[in-house]
Amino acid sequence: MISNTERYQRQLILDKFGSTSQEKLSKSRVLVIGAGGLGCPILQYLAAAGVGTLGIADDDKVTYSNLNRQILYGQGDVGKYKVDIAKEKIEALNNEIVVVAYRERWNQDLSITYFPNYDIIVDATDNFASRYLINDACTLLKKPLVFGAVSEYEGQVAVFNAAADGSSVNYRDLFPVPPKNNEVRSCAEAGVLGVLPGLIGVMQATEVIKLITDIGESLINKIAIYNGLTQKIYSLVITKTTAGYDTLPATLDAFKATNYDFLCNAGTVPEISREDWLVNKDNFILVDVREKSELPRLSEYTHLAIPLSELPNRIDELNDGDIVFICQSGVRSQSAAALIRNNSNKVYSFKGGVIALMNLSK
Amino acid sequence: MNIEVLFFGQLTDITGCTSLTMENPVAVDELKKQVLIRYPGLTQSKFVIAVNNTISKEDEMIADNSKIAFMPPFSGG
Repeated sequence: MISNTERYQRQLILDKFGSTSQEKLSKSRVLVIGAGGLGCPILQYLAAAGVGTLGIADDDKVTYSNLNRQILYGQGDVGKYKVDIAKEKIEALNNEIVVVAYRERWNQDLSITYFPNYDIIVDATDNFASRYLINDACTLLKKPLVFGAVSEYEGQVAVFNAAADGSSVNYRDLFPVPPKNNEVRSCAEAGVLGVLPGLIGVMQATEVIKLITDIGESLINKIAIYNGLTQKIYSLVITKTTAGYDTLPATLDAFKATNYDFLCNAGTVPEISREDWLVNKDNFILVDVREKSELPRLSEYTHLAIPLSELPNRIDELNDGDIVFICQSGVRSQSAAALIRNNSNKVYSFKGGVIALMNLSK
Repeated sequence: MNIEVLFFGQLTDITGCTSLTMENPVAVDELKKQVLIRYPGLTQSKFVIAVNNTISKEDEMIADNSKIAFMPPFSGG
């Protein structure tokens, strides 16, 4: 066993750090959501620094296109779950800390269940749906959130919900409403220089360590924008806004009922009314995205039954042609339509769902 | 009057530059209008505007020698 004094010697001798800070780190609990380009360096440095409990959440498997920036993984890991490899590597780096892996796409229930177990949440995700969901959960549960995001050659870092005087801002004070599809391109579409998430992830890890040990000046209520091409950092002060307050779900129940995938992916999904569908129904493939247990079933109409939870893996079953998704009330069908919007099919959501189709509300 | 306007992230794909100098706008919303006329592609983009490193309000007046930043949301990770 390596002595802790030796392992952490270089930071223990630092002015303003010492054993008090080291103790704070070892007692701290940090959850990193996303084990990708940002998450890899965050996890490595926080583990190396001696953060006592590290949570890792991700539901993705390693692909070859990850390897230019996700430095915990090697070629032999392609096809394996990221959290499994990350946990193994992090434990090999420091076996004196506790590593908890969540092989999950982060959602509302997980936030409500697990955020109370952690002191700081780190957003290392790669999409707006997760970012708004995590921001809203942290704000409602008053959890400090270290935010990081990248785009091409630039990155953003910010600390939300961490002001001691109650003046904390959150992401919605900056961007109250998620962008529409066409307003921002993702890394998959626009690309990213491999070192960029490394730099931004390390900046996030720095903010985490500063918050825990209470040293330096945190990016509380500020956002730093880093440009890798010019090595310049530009910081902006964020203030509380009414729009930010108004768009945040007011309660945990409202939070649980929010459909983040739809808000952030769909833009506008065209809806088709019962009347229009009845006249044109032979021109559409009807897909019921309810779970198999939900009644009434659509036995009198030709249709496919693919529960929303299975749709991502069963997109191949949808032949060419215009599709109408239907669910009980017309909400999940919008998520379904949003999910496959990039396919060549024209997709619609059945307005009002089965309840409207069968006139069940009467 | 001299005002420096900075563009960040994917906004620079539309503007083709990271900064420009403007001479006569008086309030943030007026400046925004002029920038959008110059780069119509930006009407399809989401961004916040900061005046001298603080997120601005639409009707905020801009003083001489101010630095204005147009910053979009980033999603990548």
